[in-house]
Amino acid sequence: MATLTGLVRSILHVPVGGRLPIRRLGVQGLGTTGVRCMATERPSNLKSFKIYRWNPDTPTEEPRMQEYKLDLSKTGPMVLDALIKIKNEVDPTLTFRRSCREGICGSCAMNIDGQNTLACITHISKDQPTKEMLIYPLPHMFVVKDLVPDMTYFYKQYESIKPWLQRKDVLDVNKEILQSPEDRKKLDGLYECILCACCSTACPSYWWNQDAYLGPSVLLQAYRWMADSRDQHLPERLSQMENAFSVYRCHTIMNCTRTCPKHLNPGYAISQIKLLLAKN
Amino acid sequence: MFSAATRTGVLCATRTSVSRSLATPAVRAFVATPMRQTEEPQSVVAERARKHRPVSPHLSIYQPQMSWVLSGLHRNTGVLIGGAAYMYAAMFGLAPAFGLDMSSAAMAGSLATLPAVVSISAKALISGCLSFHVFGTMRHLLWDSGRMVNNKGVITTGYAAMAASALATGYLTFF
Repeated sequence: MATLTGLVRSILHVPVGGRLPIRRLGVQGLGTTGVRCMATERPSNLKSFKIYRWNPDTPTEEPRMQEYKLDLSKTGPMVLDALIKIKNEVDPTLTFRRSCREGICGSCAMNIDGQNTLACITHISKDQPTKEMLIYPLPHMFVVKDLVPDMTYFYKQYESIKPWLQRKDVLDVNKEILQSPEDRKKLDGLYECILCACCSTACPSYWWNQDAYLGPSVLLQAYRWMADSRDQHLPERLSQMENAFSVYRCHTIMNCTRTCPKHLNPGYAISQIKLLLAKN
Repeated sequence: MFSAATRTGVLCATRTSVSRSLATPAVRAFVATPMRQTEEPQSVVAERARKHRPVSPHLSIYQPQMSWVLSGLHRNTGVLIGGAAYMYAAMFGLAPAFGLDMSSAAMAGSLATLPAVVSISAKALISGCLSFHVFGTMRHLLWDSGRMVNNKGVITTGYAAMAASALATGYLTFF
């Protein structure tokens, strides 16, 4: 039945989550009677969410998956809406990070149905309401609590690439450092990165060599400063990568580009670093 | 903003039988998280938590995608044929010491005595690993030159490598 509905939807070009026109007519009919057109009249649509739990107050207890059932007709459209609803109304002990709720802060990065993404810009699939949704923290990270991973080392790695403009000239603080429109264009697809760590924690190389390999996210940032025409420390930035681990643990698996919720291409940035290393 | 949204949600929840059956008696918005009942200082609790903190699940929960599945296959086929080549070379070197005849004619003769099922599946396994690894290497050479390093490139070159290695495996196994 679900597949049949899906087929009809695709043929009629009804967006996922939208209603089939025939049912919409029915609701309009009800609406004309006045009082009955309330949100509570929508049919209940239960969906199960299985969420990774681990409590640091009882640290010797094994992590477990806890199931919550929500009525999708009373829940917002995004996975973050479901998490906030669970925390507010069902279980206040559920712990996760969130801030902007519009995909610009990167706080709510987590593994949803097997893919790393931002909970705030991921729709709850209404096509398969009976299918349970699995939510884990970002993979292969130390867990602080529930869906909160320890990002300390990730931020240290980011700091290690010196993510700021470095000049050899003496700076005249009253003068802008100009850049041609072509040179500015080279930063497109790089400066948009929000450091949510979805790509790095999707990378098997980063899973196995987190201590020495910088990971796609930090390497994209490294390339962002290498590609900047205003930066004058390219040789120093490259020599930092001249070892077996920092960049060369990348084996072009490309899970990073596949999973990036901002649709950037960290894999391409790393390949450009490798080419720069080969040329210099 | 959150508080307003939730309050509406809870008011609504009390209206229908469906949501009432869902709601446990504890269901109220703004229920505070229970206070930790402990005499221990925070630093001790944190220290113990750090000692036992788990690593979040990874390979077992990540969605199978062409990117990492083919990458894993590429590496494992490389390990298999590489290991087989080393073993064969070592056997060839040690054969005289054990009185084994590993000349081509003797090897061909002893392989011919194997049942067809065994010899064909052995040939398919070896040629399958070899050809997938060869075509996978071509993908890597392409990527290392800075080409096809995007989602579409991974998918198209992945299908191409699989198709080419299937054809090559068939050819090497049966001809």
